[in-house]
Amino acid sequence: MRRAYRPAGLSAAQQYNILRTANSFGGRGRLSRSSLVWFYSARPSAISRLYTMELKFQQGEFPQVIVRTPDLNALAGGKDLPHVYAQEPPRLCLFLPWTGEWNPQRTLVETMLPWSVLWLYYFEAWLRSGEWTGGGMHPPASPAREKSWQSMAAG
Amino acid sequence: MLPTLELAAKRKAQLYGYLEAIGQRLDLTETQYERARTSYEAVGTWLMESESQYLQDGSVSPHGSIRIQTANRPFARSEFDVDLLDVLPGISESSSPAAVKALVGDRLKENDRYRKILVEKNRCWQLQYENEFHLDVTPAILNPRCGNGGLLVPDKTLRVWKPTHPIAFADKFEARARLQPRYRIVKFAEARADMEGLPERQQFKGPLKRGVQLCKRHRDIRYANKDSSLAPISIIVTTLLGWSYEECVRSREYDHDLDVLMEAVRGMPNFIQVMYVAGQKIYVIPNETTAGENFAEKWNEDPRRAQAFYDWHENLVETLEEFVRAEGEDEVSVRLSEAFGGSVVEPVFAEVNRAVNAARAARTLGILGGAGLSTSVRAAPVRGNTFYGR
Repeated sequence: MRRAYRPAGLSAAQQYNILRTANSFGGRGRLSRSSLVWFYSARPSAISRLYTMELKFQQGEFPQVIVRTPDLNALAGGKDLPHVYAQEPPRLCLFLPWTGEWNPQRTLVETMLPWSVLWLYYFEAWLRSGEWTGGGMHPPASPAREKSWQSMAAG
Repeated sequence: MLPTLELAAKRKAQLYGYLEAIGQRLDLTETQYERARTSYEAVGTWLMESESQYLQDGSVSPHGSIRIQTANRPFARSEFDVDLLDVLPGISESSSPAAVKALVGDRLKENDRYRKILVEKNRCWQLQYENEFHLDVTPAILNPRCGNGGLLVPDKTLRVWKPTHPIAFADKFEARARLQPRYRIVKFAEARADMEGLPERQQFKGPLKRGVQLCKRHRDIRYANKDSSLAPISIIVTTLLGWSYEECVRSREYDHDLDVLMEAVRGMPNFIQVMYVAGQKIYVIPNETTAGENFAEKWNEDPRRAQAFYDWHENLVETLEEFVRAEGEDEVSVRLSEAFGGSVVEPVFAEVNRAVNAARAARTLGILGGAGLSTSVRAAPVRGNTFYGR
């Protein structure tokens, strides 16, 4: 019997449809042929600031979340932001690549969106105490591995 | 509820939750209470077992903040104060206050243990239990001119008796603390703080008692590096907040206990009575339960004390208003630390952080969409993730 064709994961259109219909974060976005962007806002808790994020997804690549407002670097007062791929604009490190935490069968709504809010919770705690208490991993320091990590993270 | 209303309710519940958690850390522990009680009962028994008939007829009772549960763990020193009255009904006003004070002191000195830790103060005797508490024993007699069972205690010169009534004062305060605020929307006022690690509403002490503790702590922080002889005394803070709280609760409806507390604190100076006698400004904050006791007596000797109260109060209100407006855990904690000191505020936030991490590890940490972390059953548990990157 011939194996049925199994897609590599959810398409941008499918992800977009879920974002529009089954998304307790709200927001709005744009769908292109194989990619999407989604803008949404969240507070990590009721006493927190309201943050606005941009989620980018390109089929076959890792999704990305960038915090657009407020200016996290201004809030950090010159300190380097923890657990980001890029300082400006801040692109959040939300999962360990190639471990299945993120995989293309997962919806963005159940992964990237809540993870970004969790990141923001630890960010405010970091602003308060100077300590990142959300755990995580840092990329290896050797230049060769660093390079591969960057290209990997860039998708 | 509308989403914006729900957010406002959750925000107030969370802010109030921090205040309550700070207050709980200011509370004396059960053990501290228990040890203080054991000690003052022993002192009471020792006094009553005296050969003096006057002391045998006496009875010892606690008053002050210990009695009304507004005592704080001390800031910047290790002992807290326990105030005891030894009421001696057999002694009349014609006796010299100095002699009555000596009668109590002599009896305490007959005990080897007490003699070693006994220190004489202006109007009372202090037993200094090192690293635990200071037990002030003040002799009191009945005030024949007070129809409300009032007392007389030595004044600081030990030449005359002055009226007081700490027990009726405490009862009146307790009655005020039991007054329940009326809420515009009960569901709003009783919304839970949607955050792990904050105290539950049924453990709350009530805005008046907590408010007194927080005010006193703010005063201690503000006077940590200043001449504390001018600092507003606890009985004034307690009295004014009690009156202001009653006025708020009786005359208006509120969204939340946070608003009740804020307005009661704001209103405190309205209850200071100011009058002019022969061109001189006189401040009166009476003990309403007996005639002739003015808690603001010393303000009239040194007007800097009155000014110190107004300055302290202005700073307290400003700091609390900034706290209520603050956005971001970091901002909120900065305001609270300014008001109450980092040593009591930081552990509160660290505890919340630990509780969030425990829930995350147990996969019970919920996220309610854009409203963030949530303990509600409506919130979807967050999938496991690892924050990567530098």
